[in-house]
Order: sequence, then structure tokens, then C-alpha cells
Amino acid sequence: MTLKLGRHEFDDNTPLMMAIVNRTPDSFFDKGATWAEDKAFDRVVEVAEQGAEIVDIGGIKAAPGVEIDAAEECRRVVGFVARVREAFPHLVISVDTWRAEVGREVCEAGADLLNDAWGGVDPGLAEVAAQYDVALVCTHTGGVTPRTRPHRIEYADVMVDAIAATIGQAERALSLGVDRRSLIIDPAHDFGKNTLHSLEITRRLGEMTDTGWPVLVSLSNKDFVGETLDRPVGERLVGTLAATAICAQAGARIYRVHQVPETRQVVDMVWSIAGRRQPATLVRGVS
Amino acid sequence: MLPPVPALMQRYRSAAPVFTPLRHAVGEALTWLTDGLADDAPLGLAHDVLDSPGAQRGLDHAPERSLAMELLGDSRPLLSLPAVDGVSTPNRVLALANGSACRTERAPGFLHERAEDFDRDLGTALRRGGLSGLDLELAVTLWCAGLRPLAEVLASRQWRLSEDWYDEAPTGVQYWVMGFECDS
Repeated sequence: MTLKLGRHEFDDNTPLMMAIVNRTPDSFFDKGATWAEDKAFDRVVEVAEQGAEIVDIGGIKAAPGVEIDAAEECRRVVGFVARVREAFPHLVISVDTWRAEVGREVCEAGADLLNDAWGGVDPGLAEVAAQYDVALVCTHTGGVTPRTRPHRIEYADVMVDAIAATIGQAERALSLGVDRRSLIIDPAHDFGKNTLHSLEITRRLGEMTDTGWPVLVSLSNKDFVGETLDRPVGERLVGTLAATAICAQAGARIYRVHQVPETRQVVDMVWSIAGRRQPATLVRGVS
Repeated sequence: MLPPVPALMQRYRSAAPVFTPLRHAVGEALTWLTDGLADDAPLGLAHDVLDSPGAQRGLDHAPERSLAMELLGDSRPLLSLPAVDGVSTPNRVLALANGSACRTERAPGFLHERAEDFDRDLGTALRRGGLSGLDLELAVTLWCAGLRPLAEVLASRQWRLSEDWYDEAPTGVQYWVMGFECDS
């Protein structure tokens, strides 16, 4: 299915790289490297040159910590979205927020996509997506409160739960007027899940892509990779790419990543093995 | 009393050494609890229950009950407490409970400034054999587990602490493994 992400459209066979750009002083991977606005802008320049189609701008780290209210979140992201919009008209701008209030402001500033990473906690966010004709990521978190860690969460069937929750959000957004081509579902590795849950949704991601809704995966350097391989943050790229390959085989459309070129190569390779992409060059044996 | 830690279950076993002392303590406690008890004799079971459809996530019963069934064997009858009218309470009870889950920034519930004091007071109360006067609202804030049903069990008879196998917070969650006996 064609994806319509705000001002931009992508055809069926295009896997997309969504590069993470944190406007935070304390995110787990970059640890504040792009907290300063100019550093964040440099990061956008870098990932755009690396071929990312989407930048995902976030003003609050996912982990627990100092409370950031909507006003402060807006201070961190709204002006930055406007700056990126002006400099990169062809880049899809996503904003990672669960708040409708913030969503409205960033859409006014030029965002194309609202990444509702906490699973519809604020039902007004879907209404904002409809109002501004932007895309929406519908996420499974098991109903946990934003910025809390999973604690003893169990599911009868985590993938059944993830599909029901994300499609439920997507259908609600559709009923509110969001374009069918602008709705994406995300099983949300690590969010409301222990490591076995995240491994299972990776293994069974095909069940989610089989629903026909475009699937986003956010795997990059997460704890389920770290726990599986007993590797600290900073040593999780290989594990991340292995999980990426499995998700690519299953047909995930969007990859939310820290490392764009490495992920792009893995996805392109798997996409080609799956017969969805022609190799970049074809000379060997065909001259 | 032992904490309802999923890592005690077979499917969550790993090479992580952090739970090894807890597993040993739980093994000792269960041996003590079931010593001399016929395999088909019922045990009372006190634990938190699923309190909302959202918390159930398709489950038939609380994860704590699954943990107890695995630790004690599927054939062991477990009678959830409080027992319904007309059913006598078993003489031996397994209570699944723990203190705060907010002892460090890496703890499941993140660091809470009142967690350490709360756990200290809770530990003192447990060693006295009762939880009367405990701030159960604060317990919820601090992500404690099983304290309300535990308090009901401890209030039902005159209990005294007889075994104190474990008292640590290795992952930022306060665990105790304790054995209580009563005279009646």
C-alpha cells in the first residue's frame, strides 16, 4: 500500500529509514549529544545525507526521569521542527509525542507524522492527525503509563494483544478522518514488554504485516537486544541488525534507527533476497 | 512469604546471577512450607488479583497464581485467600508480596525518595508479625505487591517470624523471603 506521510508519498515497495533525532539531554543512546539545537540540526543534516527519508524528533526520553510538561516539550521541539521544515522540504518530519497539545503545535510548524509511542494515551492526538492531514503511528504498549518501565507484565498472547491494540487505534483514527494511507502500526519492542515478549513479536512480526497495515519497527539498540546478547548500550548494533533482518524479511516498512547506513544495507539486502528489490548492480554472469 | 518475581519461573531463567541467591532462598522456604505436607493437601495462597480488564491482557488468572503453581507443582491444590464462606482456611499459606520497586533509578518504578524508609518500616513490621498501620496508599505509589492480602493474612492470627532467609533489593525491588508461624 502507498504510504502518505503528510506532504510525502511512497510506493509499495519502499522500506523507509526513520532516523532518531533527540532534543533531550538524557536519552539512553546518545546521552544528550544532540541536546543543543545546532547539534540536533547537524544530526538532521547527517542522516539526510545518509539517505534517511524520515527524521523522528523527540523532546522527552522514553525512560523515567524528570517530568517534562507540554510547554517544555514544545520549547524543545516546535521551533526545531520549523527550522528543519524550512531547510529540508523533502524530508518527512515525525515528532515522537503522546500529547495532542504538542502534536497540534508541531503540525503547525510543519510536521508530517505523529509518532504516538505510548499507544493512544491521549485520544486527542489522533484528532490532531486528522485535522492536519498528517500520518499517525499507532503503538502497542500494553496500556502502561508513559515513561514507565515494564514490570511483571504478562500476556496470554503478546502478538494477538499487539495486533488488536494497534489496529484498534488505527481504526479509531480512520473513523476520525485520518487517511488510510497515513496510518502505521508499531508493536513497540520493549514498551510494556519484557525481553521474551520483544523476541516473540520479532519472531512473529509476519502476523502483523499480514494484516495489511504498514508496520514500523523500533529496534535500535534497545534493552531486549542488550539482554539477549548481554551487551551494554553502545555494543548492540550487531544484535539490532539481526533483529532488523528478521523484521525486514517479515515486511516491515519503516525502521526507526540510530544508525542509518548500516540499517539501510541490511534492509536492502533482505528486501532483495525476498524479491522485493532489484540489486543495485547486476553484472556478474549477465554480461 | 516470598516475592512474586517472574524470574523465578523456568521460562525466565537466564545466566544473570542477580536472582541466584533469591532462588536459593525461595527453594528453602518452599521446602520449609511443605515439609511433612501431603502432596494433595491444599495450601492457602495470598496475592494481588487482576483488578481491571486492562491488566488482564487475555489472561485467565493473575500471573502470581501461575508462579505459585509452577513453584509448588500443578497438582498442589491452591486456595486463594480470603477463603469464601464455608471453606476453611488451610493451615499453611503462601503469601506473594514484596516491598517497593522504587529503590534506584534503574528500578522498575524509578527512584522514589520515600522508598527506602518505607521498606525499612515495612521490614520492621514484618518482623513483628503484622502490618497494621501500614500506609497502603503509599505502597501502591511505590509499586509494592501483595501487601493488602498479606496484611489480611497476618491479621487473621497471631503470627511470629520464625525464618528470615532473604532481605535484599538486587534490582531496585525490595524482596523478602520469610517464614511465619502461629500458635493457634
